[in-house]
Amino acid sequence: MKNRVEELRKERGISQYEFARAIRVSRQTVSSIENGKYNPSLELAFVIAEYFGMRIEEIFLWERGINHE
Amino acid sequence: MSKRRLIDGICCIAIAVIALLLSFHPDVQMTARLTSLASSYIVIGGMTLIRYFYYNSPKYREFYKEKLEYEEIEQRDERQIRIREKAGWYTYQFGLEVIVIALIGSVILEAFGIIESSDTAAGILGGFLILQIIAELVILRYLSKKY
Repeated sequence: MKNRVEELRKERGISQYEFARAIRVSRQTVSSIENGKYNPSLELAFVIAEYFGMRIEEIFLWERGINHE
Repeated sequence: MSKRRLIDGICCIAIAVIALLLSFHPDVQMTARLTSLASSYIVIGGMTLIRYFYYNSPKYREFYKEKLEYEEIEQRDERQIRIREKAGWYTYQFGLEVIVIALIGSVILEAFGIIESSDTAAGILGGFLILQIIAELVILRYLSKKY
């Protein structure tokens, strides 16, 4: 799933490590989320949205996939 | 670092000393085993104590706290958990296939006369295979009901 996590993180001038510590996940998880390789759970998505002070749909760009046609 | 580590280290050293003293006793026969047990426990106990005093020193106490916090985050990280679960599933599937191949292999070896009898091996492997499958069904059912 495409997302704006990297863009928003860089806007705030924080490293992946600092962001990972703030949302209580590993740095690899942050990297995987930013690359679109890993979709966070609903709970983690809410935590990220709360961290940035935005809504989930403003950060994570959902496109209907084959499995949900 | 918790005091428990200090106690663990001291216990290991104590076990090592007792094993070493026993090994010197004229009536005791297992000298070599006691000596190797003593040396293992000295190393383990020594390393535990060194780590305890190292991480409890004012210089590294903060570093150790961060290290623990990082380990806790790694342990509870959802992506890591999912990867471990997937790895467990693949390992289980691989294990099942290895058991089946070993079963068939033992029967073939018996047919070619390379081994005398595959009954014991086949019995154990077959029993283990059935146990694995039953355990999987039971656990899946339990998890389905739970979640």
